[in-house]
Amino acid sequence: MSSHRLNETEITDIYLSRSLKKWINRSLPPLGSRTRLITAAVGQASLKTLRRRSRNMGMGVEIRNYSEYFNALFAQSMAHSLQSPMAAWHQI
Amino acid sequence: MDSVSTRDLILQLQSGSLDALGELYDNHNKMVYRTALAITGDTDVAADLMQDVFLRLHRFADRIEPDRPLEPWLYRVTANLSYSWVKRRRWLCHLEDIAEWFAGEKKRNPHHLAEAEEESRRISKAISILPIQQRIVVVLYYINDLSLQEIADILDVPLGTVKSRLHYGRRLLKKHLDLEGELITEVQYEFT
Repeated sequence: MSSHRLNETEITDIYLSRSLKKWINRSLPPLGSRTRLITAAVGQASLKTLRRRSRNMGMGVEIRNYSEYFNALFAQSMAHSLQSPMAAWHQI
Repeated sequence: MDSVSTRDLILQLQSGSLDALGELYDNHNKMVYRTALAITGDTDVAADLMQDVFLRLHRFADRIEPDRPLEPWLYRVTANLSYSWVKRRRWLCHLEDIAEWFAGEKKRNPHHLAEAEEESRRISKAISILPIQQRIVVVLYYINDLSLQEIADILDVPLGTVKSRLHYGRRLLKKHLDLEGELITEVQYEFT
């Protein structure tokens, strides 16, 4: 079995790599970052994109501004959350 | 497998899919956040920079080539934004802020060993002392495991510049972490 005697730089590199990873890997992005990102991305999207998206999602309204998009998105998510328990109720 | 998936997500993003943006975020957010945090030393700033990186991904999706790996692009934008922030706010970035952050971390993790806290404090201080250009190279090399050539490509500087920044960064870290004694010997024993 061959053994490689490490030089000083290699030893330092191994130590630093381990220590720095151990140090930084304790940290995680804050909760809610994904939602914050998507909301900001919607705000960044053009109205044309939002109109296309609302049609694709079957929102059933013609979007004229960002506020209407958010309202339609909210209404749709509320409808989904109400439909699910009702569907379950009818199944019973 | 992963690159095919990323390619598909980029194509979807280019056609306006926010779900694809969410997926790309899920796959890469830790890497972006930790890189920004290691360079800036500030959790709030790292969170803001991470958001900015992914918003740029969304805004400039059309300029990204789906067949090329996404990571170098993310590293480049993260390093550039972090660099700009540090240069702009250098006078605000005191060591006390970083020490305070770790004190906060301690509160959130009451069972964490005091010894590990001390070690983290030492490392964060040593990193924050490095000049920003050396710090970026050190972070990309030691934390993100990138090769010298990859770092040169990402930062768009000659390979020799990366080598030089790493050399001086390593030397400063050794000095500030006092790496001449037992810790180094421990590593050596493992490999002989």
